[in-house]
Amino acid sequence: MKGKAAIVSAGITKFVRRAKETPKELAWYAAKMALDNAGLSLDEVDAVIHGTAPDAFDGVHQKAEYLSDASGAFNKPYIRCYVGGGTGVMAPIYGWYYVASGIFDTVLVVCEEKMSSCRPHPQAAFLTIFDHTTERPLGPNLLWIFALEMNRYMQVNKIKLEDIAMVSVKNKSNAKNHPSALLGSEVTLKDIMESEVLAWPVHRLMVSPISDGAAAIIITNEEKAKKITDKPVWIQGAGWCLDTAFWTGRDLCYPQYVEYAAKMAYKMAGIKNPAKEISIAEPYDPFAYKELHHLEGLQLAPKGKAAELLMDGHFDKNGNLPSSPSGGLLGVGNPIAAAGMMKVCELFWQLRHEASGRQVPGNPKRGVAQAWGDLMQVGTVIVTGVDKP
Amino acid sequence: KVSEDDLAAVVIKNRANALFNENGCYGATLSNEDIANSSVVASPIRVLDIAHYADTAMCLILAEESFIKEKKIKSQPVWVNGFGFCNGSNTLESREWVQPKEASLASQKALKMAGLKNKDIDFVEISDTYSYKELQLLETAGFCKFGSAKSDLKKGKFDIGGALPVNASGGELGNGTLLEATGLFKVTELVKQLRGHAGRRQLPKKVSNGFALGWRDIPTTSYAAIVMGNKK
Repeated sequence: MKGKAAIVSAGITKFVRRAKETPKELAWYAAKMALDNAGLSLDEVDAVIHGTAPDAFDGVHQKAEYLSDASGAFNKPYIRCYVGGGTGVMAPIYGWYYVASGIFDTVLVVCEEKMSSCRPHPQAAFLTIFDHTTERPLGPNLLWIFALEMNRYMQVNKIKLEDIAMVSVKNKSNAKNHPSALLGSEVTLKDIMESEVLAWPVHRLMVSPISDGAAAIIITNEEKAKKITDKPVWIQGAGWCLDTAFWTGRDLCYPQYVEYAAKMAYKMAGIKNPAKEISIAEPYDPFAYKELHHLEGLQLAPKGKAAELLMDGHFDKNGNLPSSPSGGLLGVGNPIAAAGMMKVCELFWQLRHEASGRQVPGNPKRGVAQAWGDLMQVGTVIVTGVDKP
Repeated sequence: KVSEDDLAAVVIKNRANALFNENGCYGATLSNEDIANSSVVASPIRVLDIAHYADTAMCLILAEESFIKEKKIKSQPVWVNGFGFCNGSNTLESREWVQPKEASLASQKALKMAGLKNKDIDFVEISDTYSYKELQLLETAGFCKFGSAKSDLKKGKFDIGGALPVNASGGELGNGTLLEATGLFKVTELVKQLRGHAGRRQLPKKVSNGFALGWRDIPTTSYAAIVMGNKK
């Protein structure tokens, strides 16, 4: 790695079903929090990265332009990052390579999503992502295609639906102590299994809620990081990979693209045995089964075995490898681009022992955050840790 | 005090240049009357002042010097020596309408990174999405004093045979405006000219350093500038 880059501050708004704040206000709140947390003024920021997903949600074309002033980008270099749900981890990766390459010293990375403006329901915005000739005639929607993937994953690996439901139980419980959480609560397995079927085998409580929210971090180089905080969280590795949009031609039982992205990040971080060298995992969990699917892609569980490890308590907050101690998207909420950033922020707070109420025990040294999206095709992975690379 | 004839001169030059561009589709020989006779869309902009859309795809491969040597790449490399990008204010009422400062910041960053001044640049590809943009941006980027682009154009300075050819490609007016792909089209022109591969519109003067400044089109204030050269 050429230069070193560290996350020195983080900020996050509440994640809610329908924010009263405008999209600009959401972005501003998160950006301001990150600046205040670092003790920096906007003048000291060299560039701004803004991660935000389809314009259709906030209802403004060229959404990143609309959010540029709220994100602090007036007369500054400004770049939009968008890879579907992978955005929340890709945007920090953009920030990382601009700082590590020496182009900029201090970068503010903001992720925002206001999905509630999309009427009658934000899910409708996703109907247009499918190919007009080969896919739309089938009438697919996201719930439908993820149900396909979940079913394939379950069938190939012989996984019980009840075990997948336990991801929701774990994450919603973890989220009780997340300040931004929308649906943190104690739910039982029975609650999950009795919630209505949206698209078999997906039950309602296995799906993360549509949300509005924003989150931001500041990334600086080694020299600046030292002046801002005595506990910088170093970016040790970054990886990203895109599989084909022709999801109909892939075996969905395993996210190969997450594996490639993870290996790229682990190689950079010098990690040979991730299951042993990672202290905390924040895999993307828009659906309960996805956490397990992604843990396998991240090489943190053998193929097909993530559910067994989950049932053994391996991924509990007090387990060997806490997974989604934040409460994940299932518990905190899913404003598309901000969700992945929420996970990056969680690692930041956990590694600095600032995750009050959710803190994993012991002395976590490094964590991995991963995001996913588009047509079930993108994996974005970031490894952060307390040790300078 | 830019006149309609000054704007027409941009349109005429660029659409004429595009007649020699095998990729473009709006090459034409136009006169001041043609433009003056086209309808007003929103005063003072006429139909012929506006670049039309086109469909396209293009691809660049970038590589580090060590990769080029290791793989013994034969095609002539054209070096990215500087770049800059910048945004302005999204809010209409906060914008600087006369000269977008963000374009100036992007341009100066690119030149500074390349260790060059405006006078070191041999040719320019610059946004002409609306005919006035070419004049406005040449001044904002520092290639002309404020207000003098129109007279430089009239004197032939920006012609293919001139001292600082601008939009030899034919620009967006001549080839089409391509939204997110617009900027990359300018970069491909820099590459072609610097390699001597621009065919019938190859600049007669010897070129070592090219500059491109792109704007993404309304409603954005996104500008990016790049300096490319035959030497690193």
